[in-house]
Parts: sequence; structure tokens; C-alpha cells
Amino acid sequence: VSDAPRIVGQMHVPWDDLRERRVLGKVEAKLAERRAMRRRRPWLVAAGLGGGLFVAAAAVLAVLALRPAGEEPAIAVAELPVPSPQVLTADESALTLPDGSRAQMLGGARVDVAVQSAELVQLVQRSGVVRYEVTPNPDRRFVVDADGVEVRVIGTVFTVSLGEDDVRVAVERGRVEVAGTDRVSELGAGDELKLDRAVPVDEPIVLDDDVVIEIEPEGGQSKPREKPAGRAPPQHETPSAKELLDRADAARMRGRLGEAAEALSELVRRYPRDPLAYSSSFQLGKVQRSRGQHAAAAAAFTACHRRAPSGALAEDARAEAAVSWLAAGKKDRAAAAAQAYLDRYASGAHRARMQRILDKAE
Amino acid sequence: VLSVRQAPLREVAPSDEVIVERIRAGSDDAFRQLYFRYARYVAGVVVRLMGDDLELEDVVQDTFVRAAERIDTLRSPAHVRPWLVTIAVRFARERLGRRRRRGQLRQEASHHFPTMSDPRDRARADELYAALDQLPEKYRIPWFLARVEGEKLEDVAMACGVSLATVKRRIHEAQTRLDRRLEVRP
Repeated sequence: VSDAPRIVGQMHVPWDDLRERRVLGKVEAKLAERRAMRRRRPWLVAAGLGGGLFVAAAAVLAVLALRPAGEEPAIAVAELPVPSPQVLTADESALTLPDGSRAQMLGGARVDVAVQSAELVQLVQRSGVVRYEVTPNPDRRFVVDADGVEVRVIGTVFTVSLGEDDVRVAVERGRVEVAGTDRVSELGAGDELKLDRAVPVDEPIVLDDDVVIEIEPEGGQSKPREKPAGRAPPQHETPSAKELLDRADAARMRGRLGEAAEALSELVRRYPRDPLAYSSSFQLGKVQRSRGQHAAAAAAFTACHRRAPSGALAEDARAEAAVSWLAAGKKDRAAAAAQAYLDRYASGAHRARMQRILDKAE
Repeated sequence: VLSVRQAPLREVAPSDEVIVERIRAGSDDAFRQLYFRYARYVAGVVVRLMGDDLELEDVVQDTFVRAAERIDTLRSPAHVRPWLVTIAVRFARERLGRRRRRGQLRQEASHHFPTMSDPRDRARADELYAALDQLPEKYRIPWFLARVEGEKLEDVAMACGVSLATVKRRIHEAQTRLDRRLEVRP
């Protein structure tokens, strides 16, 4: 017993930067959710009372009213129209989520669905004007990212216009919270806010669409290959996202980085909408870098950044992508990524590293 | 030629008091500063106290959510570190109690036991945690905070929500029981 402090003190604490940031993300999400709940509570009480009165009045009217002749109108049921990756354009005119929330594209608009889960819907508006009608749901956060301006929705109707030089948010009904680069504003019905776009439209670094990185067994080399026409369905029972993450963690602990990369790749590919996929793509980048697979690492970091450009790992992911591109000998891509980082995070934690990459790439 | 050498500017980290004041004024950045300063420390206490990392993220998350919401109740901002430990310990205690009621202590969790640098110590740590698992939380936690984490008795008393005299008595009782259990083992 007297030796306990020494023995226990030697225990490895499984806590790394990634885990730290992942938990911070959860903490901030939880706090935002609770703040939104508190703001909504008085309104809910009033709505509950009003709703009760409305139901009583409707019941009386239903008894008294005469039923009109003719056919009843059909009830339209909208479903989520596109599989992942969901990229909708103005041609498709509207995105409808299963809970009834709609994003109506009004002109030259493009919206990507970054995350869609029971707890979070995150849309990335790339361009144009989009009118959002969001069904209130206290169990789910709804966030629109418009070139770094984050609109957190509480259940409302509003329009986001992504112009050449600015982002405008106009609220028709309800309330939204708008987070720019240096301030957070809350808007109510009738309010309109214009924020300058601090940086030009973000040009993400995109891997060649016809190239996929294949994971080879331990000790093997990853090689870019032509994308196969289709993948054969797995013969064994499909592991869950959590199981794949556990598998990757266990492999990393044993130093089997090939297995870890394989599990993480599978998680990201098989469960792109799972909340674990976001941090896993970052982790995949770190694992690939440890294996010396720098191009694959850069691809993973880039994918992580594109998945949530305002997420907790976005800044690190963009910087690590630049570092990995340089290590892979892709100076142009490294310079582009480093410049994109500096444009977006002028006083970011990695600015000195990014400046060095730009100097080396010249 | 006149040359002037300028001393390099050094960034001075703000004190805990300053960070707490900023958080109270509504600064999210200050809250992140507090988190990055102490999350690793809190995680270490939690993982050593619980003996595994099965619920580590949940406990750290709950701790900082509670801290953000109750920061106005912190009487002495300089004591933010033991205050965070107090919150973490309460959440850890709840979860340990829940596991005990389900009969899950160590049996299911043993394969998640964090690694030790020396394999011989791994066996001794297993033995120690097996003995700790037999202790009620009211003895286990004060003993652990005082003897393993080296916290001051006053802070241990605060973390456990009991008087200084009570905490001393419980630590003594825990020590006696642990000595007995570990000596009886072959």
C-alpha cells in the first residue's frame, strides 16, 4: 500500500490532443444546447398554454363546423432525396430533411450536408441565397455554416445570402444566433445582419476524384489506384462505428498502425454521417503520417477539414494537411493549403509553421 | 552606428483568477483556456481514481459542463483546480456507485486497464485496484485523493463534502482496510 502512489503514478493516462479536443467539442455542444433550452423555456410555457387553448377552441369548432363538399387535399410526404455525399445545387431547388425542415435554394445556391444525425444537422452553404425553414426540435442542433459565419438555429425561418463581399442573414420568424469571426449576435423576427466576408471564397484542396488510397497490410505500401467500379459487399457481420474506433485504438496501442489505418478508413467510409467519423478522419491523418504515408495523411486531414470547416479540429486539420502535402513532395498543394490556413486563421496557432511551408514551397 | 537590441516579448499566461473572471464576464475563449489548462489533469485524476478509462470522456465532459454553469458559485477563483477535482470526483463517485450496484467493478473493465511501463507493476496495480474495489466510495475516494494524488486534506474534505475530522477518520479507516486486504492476499 505504501508503494501505491508510485505504482498508480506510472499508469498511462490515455489522454491525447485529439481526445482533449473531442471532449471540448462535446462540452461546448452541451453548453450551447442547454443555453438554447433555457432561452426557449419561457416561450415553451407560453406556447403550451396557447396550444391548450387552441386545441380546446379547435375541438369546439370541429363539432360546429360543416364539412365542405369535395375531395380532401392530398398530403405530401417529403423524404431525404440524396445519398451521401449530399451535395445539392440550385437545380434541385430544395432540400427537405426527414423532420420537415427545408432549405430552399433561391439563386445560384449550393448547400452541402456536412453532418446529419439525431443530435446535429450541419449544412455548409457554399454560394447563393438559401431560405431555411427549420422545424423546432430541442434534441437536435441545426447549424448553417456560410463561409465561416455560423448560424445556429433554434427553430425558425430565415434566409442566408452569400454575396461577393458579405454574408447576410435575415430572420422572418423565430430566433437565430450568428457567430462571425469576432462576435456572436442573436437575431429575432424582422432582424437582418450583414457581415463582411473576411476571406475570399474558400477553395478546398480536392483530391483527384478518380484516385483512392488503398490501405495495404502491415508493412506494405499504399498505392494510388483507379477507383473500382463497385465494391463487393462484406461477407462478415458489419462492425459498428464504435467497434471500428475501438479496433483502431487497440491497434494503435499495440503499434499496429496498418490495422489502425484500415479500421479508421473503414469507419470514415462506412459511417460518413456518424459523429465519430469527424475525429476519426483526423486520427487517420495522424496514423498515416506515422506510417510515412504522407499523401494519404494529407487526404485524411483535408477530408476532416471539409467535413466541418468550422469544427473543433478544422484549424489543426488544415494546418496538418499542409504539412503532410509538403512531406509528400506536393509543394503546390502544400503552399495552397498553407495560404488557405493563413487567410482563414491570420493569428492561428500554426501560422509560423505555415509561413515556413510557404517559404519552402517558393 | 547605434544598434538597439530589443528583448523578445514573452507571453505571460493569465492566472487562474484572471481566467475565472473572464469566464464570468462571458468569455468563451477564457473557458477554453481553463479547459486546456486542466482537462489533462482532471482526466489523470479520473482515470487513476476509476482504474480505467471506460467513462473517462463522459466524466471530463460532465465536469467542465458543470464548471461552466456553476462558475459563479466558486468562492475563491485561485482554487479553481481543486474545485474542478471536486466536481470530477462527484461524477466519478456516481459512476463508481452505479457500477458497484451492477456488480461491474473491474470484472468487465479489467481489459481496459491503462498500460503500465513496468509489467510487474501492472500486477501490483491490479491487486491494489481489486482491494480498492472492495472499499465503499466514502473511504476509497478520500484515501485516493490524499495518498495517491497528494491533495491537501482541506481540499480532500471539500471534494468529499465532509469535515476535515471526518475525512481524516475515513482515510485512516481506508488505510486499515487496505492493509488488511493486501496482507491477507497470498
